[in-house]
Amino acid sequence: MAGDPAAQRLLYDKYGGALYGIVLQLIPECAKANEILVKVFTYAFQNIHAFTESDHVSLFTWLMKQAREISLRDTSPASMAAEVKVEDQQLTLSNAHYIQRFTAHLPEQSSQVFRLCYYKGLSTQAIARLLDREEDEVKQSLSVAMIEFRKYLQSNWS
Amino acid sequence: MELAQYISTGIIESYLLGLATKDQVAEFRLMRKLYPALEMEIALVENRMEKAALGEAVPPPSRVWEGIQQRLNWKSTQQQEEEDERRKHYTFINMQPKEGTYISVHRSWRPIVIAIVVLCKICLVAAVYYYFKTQVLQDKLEDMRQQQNVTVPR
Repeated sequence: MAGDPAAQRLLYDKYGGALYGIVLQLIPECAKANEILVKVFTYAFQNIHAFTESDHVSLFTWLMKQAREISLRDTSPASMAAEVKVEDQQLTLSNAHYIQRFTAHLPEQSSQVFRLCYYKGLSTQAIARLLDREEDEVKQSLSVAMIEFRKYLQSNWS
Repeated sequence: MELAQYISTGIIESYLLGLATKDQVAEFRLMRKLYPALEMEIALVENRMEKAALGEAVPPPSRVWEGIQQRLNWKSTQQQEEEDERRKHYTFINMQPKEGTYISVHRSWRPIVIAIVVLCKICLVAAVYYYFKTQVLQDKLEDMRQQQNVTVPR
């Protein structure tokens, strides 16, 4: 794939849209999201060996993880801080995506922790500081969210 | 911990979303080794996530693909430049005029080759010098033998 344009195009056609949807949820700004998607595929095409060395079974979930990591890395700390302050407004800009819909049905605390963790890439320690809560409490909220996320996936896409 | 109970905590989903902590990731890897049956469940979860994301796909604008192509070309150009930069440290000797048939020699070989050539020349000069010197001595020896023959009659 690293040097095969046809294989690259095939992969892009298959997963480009799905990854773009995910990136737009993390960075709700088209120009920036476009740039991130370019970086994700460029990285994938040039480092496809990293997938074979990873623990992932499917290529898509590996790409999904790369897309999130690159999105979070490319979000400047300044804009991240600004977004965290108004995170409720920012994160409810688009409720179309399945992860957004999932968080809408979570208990308030779990929803907040999950969103800060997934969309902002914050650790449980950082979230505890930000929300002025105990870290164990934050971990518990995240555990509840993950149990619910599993059930949500099972009930909708099994 | 029982496998079913472990799976029900959503650890696979957490790992795939990139939300698992370092300790959880280490534990997850250990569990994968201990319970090969976990692989099937991971594949199922990955499949569910893929289906979910494909169902919510947003077609990216065409300029994204163009951007990828440009970036790939730029990267390959950059790699070529790096290769050229690296090659600057080597001296290329064109042994044959045919294209693609070069041998490359590192610059450090230059003084070694010069030293070998100089040494060869010194040896050559020495060989010629000693050859002529030997010739002169042989001539002298021959003359002495002839003189001896003349002075001592049989």
